Amino acid sequence: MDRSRLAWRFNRRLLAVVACIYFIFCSVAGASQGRAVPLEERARGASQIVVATVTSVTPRWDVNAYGDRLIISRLSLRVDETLKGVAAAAVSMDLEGGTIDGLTLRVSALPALELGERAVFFLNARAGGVYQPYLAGQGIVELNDTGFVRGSNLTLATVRAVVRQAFAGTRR
Amino acid sequence: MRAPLLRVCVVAAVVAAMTVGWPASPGAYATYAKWANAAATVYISPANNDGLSDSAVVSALQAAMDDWNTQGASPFRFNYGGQVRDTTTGYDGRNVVLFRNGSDGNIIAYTYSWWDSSNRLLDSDMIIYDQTYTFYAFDGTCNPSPGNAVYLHDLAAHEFGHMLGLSHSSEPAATMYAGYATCSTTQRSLDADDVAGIQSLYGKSSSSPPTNSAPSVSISSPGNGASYAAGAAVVFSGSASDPQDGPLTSSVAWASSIDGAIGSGGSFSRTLSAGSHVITASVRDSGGLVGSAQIAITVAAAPQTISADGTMVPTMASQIVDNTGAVWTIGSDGSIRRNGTQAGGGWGSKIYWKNSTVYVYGTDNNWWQWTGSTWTNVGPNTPGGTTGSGGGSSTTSADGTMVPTMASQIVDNTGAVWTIGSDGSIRRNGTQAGGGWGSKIYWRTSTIYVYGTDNNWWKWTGSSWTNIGPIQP
Repeated sequence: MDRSRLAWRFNRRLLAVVACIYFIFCSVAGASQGRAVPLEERARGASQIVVATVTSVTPRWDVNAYGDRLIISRLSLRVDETLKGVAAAAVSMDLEGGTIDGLTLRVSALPALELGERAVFFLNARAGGVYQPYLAGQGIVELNDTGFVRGSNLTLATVRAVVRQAFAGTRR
Repeated sequence: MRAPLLRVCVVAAVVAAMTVGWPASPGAYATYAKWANAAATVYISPANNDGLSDSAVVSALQAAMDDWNTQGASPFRFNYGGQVRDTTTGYDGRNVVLFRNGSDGNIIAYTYSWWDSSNRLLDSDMIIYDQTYTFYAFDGTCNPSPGNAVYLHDLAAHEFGHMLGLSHSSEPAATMYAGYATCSTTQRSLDADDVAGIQSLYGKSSSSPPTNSAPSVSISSPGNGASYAAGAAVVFSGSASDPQDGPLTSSVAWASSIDGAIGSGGSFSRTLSAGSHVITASVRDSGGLVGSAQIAITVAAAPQTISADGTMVPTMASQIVDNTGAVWTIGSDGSIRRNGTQAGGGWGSKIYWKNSTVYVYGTDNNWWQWTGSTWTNVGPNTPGGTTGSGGGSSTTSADGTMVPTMASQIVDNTGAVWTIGSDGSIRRNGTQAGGGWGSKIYWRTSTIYVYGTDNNWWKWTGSSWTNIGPIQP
């Protein structure tokens, strides 16, 4: 096979990949609360990625950057595995929503995490060493007890591999 | 080439799965709470960044409400309450849709829902982020090429699903599925899964509703654009009728964009808070459809008496009126409020009006000076005095105190601090007083004297200096 034919075959493969990805994505392009961002993109954008378990949830009344007076919960996360960023045994994260004195606030695009829940957290740092999820709710990929992403057949091992691959790509 | 093509398709499918995952189970609705009376009144703050007119926004959002009212086949009803001007969300018992000129990741909209321990919804607000996305209100106008175009009707149909108590569904065809394709118009058509969701919360309609049309409402008084003096009683009158129900005037509900509900029926009078009010008269017919009319009126602010110098809140007064007429109070949550709105994000326990300046004793035990738009830390000492800890009182210097021989400063009996600047200027609370210059300040019989550069003593009269000759008072 000569060089020109090899190049043509390569281009056809590339076109096929692009076409397949397009046709798979076009049916789900965008989420009602925002565009669904691929894990690789989330991995590249987040400064810290951990597999962690919620060990405490402390709600409080606070005012967010837009001046909204809300219930905001401070979650303590026990880090089981650091996929990106500085390794730490535990991190804290703020999430809008929570319950105080029987009054509950829930934000539609954010999960309501409870004690013991495990997830892959794509995080960005805020002042004071407290993190917030990158891309809001898309920064929290909840896991079930068997190591699958909740509501899907995606495994933690796959997420881990995608994150590491994306991170490796960034480092190159 | 078929095998490699199949492989790349599989690879692409895996990549797609990494984005959205495969639904592991058949699609189904999910719920979190419900409105106790199977109804929610929604107010709309239509100001937006996309140039959509108020009426276009209201029309698109009402259409989305009607999607649930008519296609849901349940007793639940969204009612339009009128226009407001909210820019923030919070737990205030009023359901508001507002646009926010901001961006939060890829978020198009959030719905903030509040409920009690019995899972009864109490408040729900929709925030639409229009910095990144472009919204369209009229069918056929959406421009898909930038990839960020959204039909307001369809976006709102999804968010109103949250507002009535539904979570995301895993059914891809459902309105409540977390997926919106650019310029899509599919979410305005409820899927069977959405209908099952609303009916699981509120039950099914007992029968097919008969053809119904909305009532009409008119406001005869006050006139649109009318202005009133502070404290004036405003006479409201109007009428309503419905093709099916007949006269509904006695059921008209009146609301102000500032004061909330203000009255009901065909005529009443009431005083309103100062400001620009949007008055909405609305009525709902027996079929659940709402008719409304609106006018705008203005109520002037009442003249305020400027607080006395040295007034402290809360020990001496409940509020301070500064020399611009602004009213300063401390909110129940400790927020520092200027005309009812938190000023510069300020928090504190005391407000002090001193030397035509507003100070706040902050939660960090420092005093903060209001600069007109923000706060400046002026340290722990009470402004205009020498005591710390925000005590609000000054220690007056002893009679006969002389600066600089006996002390570095004098505190007079109004709490003002007198010093000599490095350039010889005579300073009262850090500012040169009456253009005074001198080498000594003398505090005697409750009077400030300065030994001037002309070797005469000068007496402070409260606003200027009077020469009393070369002999020390």
